[in-house]
Amino acid sequence: MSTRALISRPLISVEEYLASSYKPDCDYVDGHIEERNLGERPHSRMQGRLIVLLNGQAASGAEVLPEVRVQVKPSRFRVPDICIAVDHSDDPILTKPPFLCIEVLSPEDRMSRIEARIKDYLEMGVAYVWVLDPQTKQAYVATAPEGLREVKTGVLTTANPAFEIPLAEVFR
Amino acid sequence: MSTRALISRPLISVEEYLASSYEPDCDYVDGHIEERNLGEKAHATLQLRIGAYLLTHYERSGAVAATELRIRVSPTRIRIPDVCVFLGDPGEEVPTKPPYICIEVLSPEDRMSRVEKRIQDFLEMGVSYVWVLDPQTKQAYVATAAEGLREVKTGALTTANPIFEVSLAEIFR
Repeated sequence: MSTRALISRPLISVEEYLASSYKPDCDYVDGHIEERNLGERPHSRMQGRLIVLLNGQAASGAEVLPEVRVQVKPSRFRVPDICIAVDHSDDPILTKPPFLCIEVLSPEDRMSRIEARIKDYLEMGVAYVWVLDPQTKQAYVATAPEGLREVKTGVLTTANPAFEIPLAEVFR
Repeated sequence: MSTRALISRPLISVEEYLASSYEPDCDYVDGHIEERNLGEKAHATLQLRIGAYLLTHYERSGAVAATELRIRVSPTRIRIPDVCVFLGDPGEEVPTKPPYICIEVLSPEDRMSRVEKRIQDFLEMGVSYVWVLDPQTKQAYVATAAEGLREVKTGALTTANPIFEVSLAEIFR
């Protein structure tokens, strides 16, 4: 049994989560606060590089947002490392599905937690989820029809709007 | 920085590892002993179920399925897949010949980067297929050298030449 299963923390409400700030920001999953793994240099470096590359290709109407809260379900908020919103909104929290969510892996990220995050995004209606591992220099794309697939073409792509990010640029 | 990075343990030799037994057994990676996550009911049940399925359906055609067999994936690395399948008797006690299929059953604590490294070791050794199964989410993945890791969306784990086919409904029931 994992340690997590032995620790019982009081549930907090959506309202309490939304009125709170965490450093770094946390996910909210059905009353529980879930910490995100980040803060290490490879993670931070890759996140910065991706923001620059995506901003360079973002057409008008597509907004590149680092670490914004996304309400994936009434009782769940996820904070992707980066997302691209196309909702033309000024709302502080995204309640409509972003076009793309990006997760940069840290060495401590459990596969089961990544699967759960991807599932939440796809069920919300996110078109593309990209998962990048700075340690192994591997990249994955998840979509609702195809599930998770490793990128073997050397380029992360989307359609409508089109983004094309060479892995050599991201992992350099 | 992770806790792991702060702990320095003495390296052990391949010979010392091979002469040792661990409960549960551990991987050996370039002088380091790496614990494997297992022992939970969901992991144990799925491991048994897929092993039994492969034995029942493919042993007669000459396939040899084994659970937790040490595989020498490189001169300095020994990995222990939860289940592996050879096309015929591998001969050695610690095989150096690549299995046809290696199967990893995920535990909730399995780090994605560790899973990626294990897959990479198997594929670089020459393993044709690596199957990764998550009993919690009932998701399955196949990794090959040509295509990398892909989630299975067809409802069945399959191989070509020779053909193996395992229905996900059978093993995740």
